[in-house]
Amino acid sequence: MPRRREILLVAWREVRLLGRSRAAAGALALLVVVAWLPGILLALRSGALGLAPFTQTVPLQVALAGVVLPLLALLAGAELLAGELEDGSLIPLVTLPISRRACFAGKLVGRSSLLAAAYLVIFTAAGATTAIVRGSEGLRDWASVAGAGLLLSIAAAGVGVALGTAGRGRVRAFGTALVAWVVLVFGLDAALLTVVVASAPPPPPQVGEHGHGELQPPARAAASEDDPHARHAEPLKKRPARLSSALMALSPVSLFRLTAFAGSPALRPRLELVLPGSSTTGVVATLAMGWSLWLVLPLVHGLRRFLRLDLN
Amino acid sequence: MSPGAESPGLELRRVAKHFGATRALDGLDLTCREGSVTGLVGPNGSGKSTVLALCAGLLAPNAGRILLDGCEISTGAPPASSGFLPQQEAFHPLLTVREVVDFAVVARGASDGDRLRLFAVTGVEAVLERLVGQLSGGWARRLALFSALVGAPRLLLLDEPFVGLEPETLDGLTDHLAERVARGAIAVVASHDFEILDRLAPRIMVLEEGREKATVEPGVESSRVAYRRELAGTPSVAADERASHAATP
Repeated sequence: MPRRREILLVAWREVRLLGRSRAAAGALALLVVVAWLPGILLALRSGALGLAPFTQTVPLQVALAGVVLPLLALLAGAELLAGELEDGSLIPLVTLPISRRACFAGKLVGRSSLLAAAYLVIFTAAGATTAIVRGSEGLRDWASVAGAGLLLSIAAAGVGVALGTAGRGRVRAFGTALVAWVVLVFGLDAALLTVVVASAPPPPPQVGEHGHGELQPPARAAASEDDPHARHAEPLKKRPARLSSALMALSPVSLFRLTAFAGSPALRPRLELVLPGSSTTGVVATLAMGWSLWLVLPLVHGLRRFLRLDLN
Repeated sequence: MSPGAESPGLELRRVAKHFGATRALDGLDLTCREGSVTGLVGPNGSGKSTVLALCAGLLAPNAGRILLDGCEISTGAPPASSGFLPQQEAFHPLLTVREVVDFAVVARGASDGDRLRLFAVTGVEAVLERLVGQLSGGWARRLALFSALVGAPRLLLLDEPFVGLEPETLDGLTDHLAERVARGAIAVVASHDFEILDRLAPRIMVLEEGREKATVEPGVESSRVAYRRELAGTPSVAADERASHAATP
């Protein structure tokens, strides 16, 4: 049987199973919460029933999606193979003329396309409703966050899939996925913050107006070639930027924020806070490197492990 | 392979499989030719199911090679035309019988005629709309048989295929197996049902602790007698006869 047909056959089976799964229904309910809750909560805070405008909801959306989406995606990814490996229901599949590669790809395609479609429908509905009720100002910022969230979900699902191919059962796969969530969402951010703060240049001593060591405006510092502080300020400014970029690529949640900020006119100034002194090319390079790392490597690792796994 | 040349069939060469410290198979050699049935018997844990799972590409051997028509079978490259019946069937409980049946038929590219033939053997068309999770053990076994046999796979790997079946289904199944083997299929059957094995298999391998204890021919003596004798470590009837012939002037 041609490989593409094998993959589609398994993908269709996966879609049917997800359609009957209570866990999938729960995951979709949580997606609805992530998409709608910020608007509803912020409207309630201002004493109204309904939805807050995008300009208010977007920052909260970034914070909420950065925590909830990786958790959902990690668990959905971990369950993809761990569940069927545990109860043995993969055996009838891989003993038909369906290769393990096609089985892996088919399950992944089926689950990710269904969840991605549900994600897009839920977020598009929330965005469209807010735009109709409160106007379209900030819609692009909101769409940027939703798009970045989809990338984050796919990356986290890949990590979950890799964890689920250890063949140690559903409960252990979920346990490992929870640990991975804590590390990805909180651990890497904390490490990033620590390194950035530790490598930042120390503030010069304050000795009075126009005196030695006074903090000068960046434009003036960079312009005055004779000034010894200006010569030292540039490398000190670039070092944490490079370090931040490298660390950013190691954290999918930071990549999510960076992508959301880069695509959103309202949030773009925050980029300067996260990656001070970075050029547009530097930001794009960081995003490309980081996402390709997180979207490809976990899945490749998971597939390699699944191909070697004993099924019995 | 050139036309008309005899197929090498299924070959296991010095195959070993360990599960942690447990040796499930220890340097096993086995050759099964085209159009043959090989019975595997032995006490629990002797390695029968492991042999079948290795041949189905579910397990990777720790040593040795498994070849089908000269091509290596591995977990990354399972045999394309094989039907595997596990000792315990495990279909996803949220699928309907119809979905399992259709999936197997499409995956194997089976014809309508083949589907109907297997419906007649297993009777699963009576429960097509039920969820697999609601099936009794007997019906689940029949569904597993359907999935293993549909599409006329060339290599049949059957682990305890006769357990939990009614006499009519059992007769239909043995007839079907005999017909498939007559058409060139290679069947490896692990079972404790000596009577059926005696009818089906011209050769039976007795396994013990992952090794070949003996290979017996049911035509010479019943597999049950041979099995008991081999595990008790007494000489075979055939060996006795050969010894008595040699002693006769």
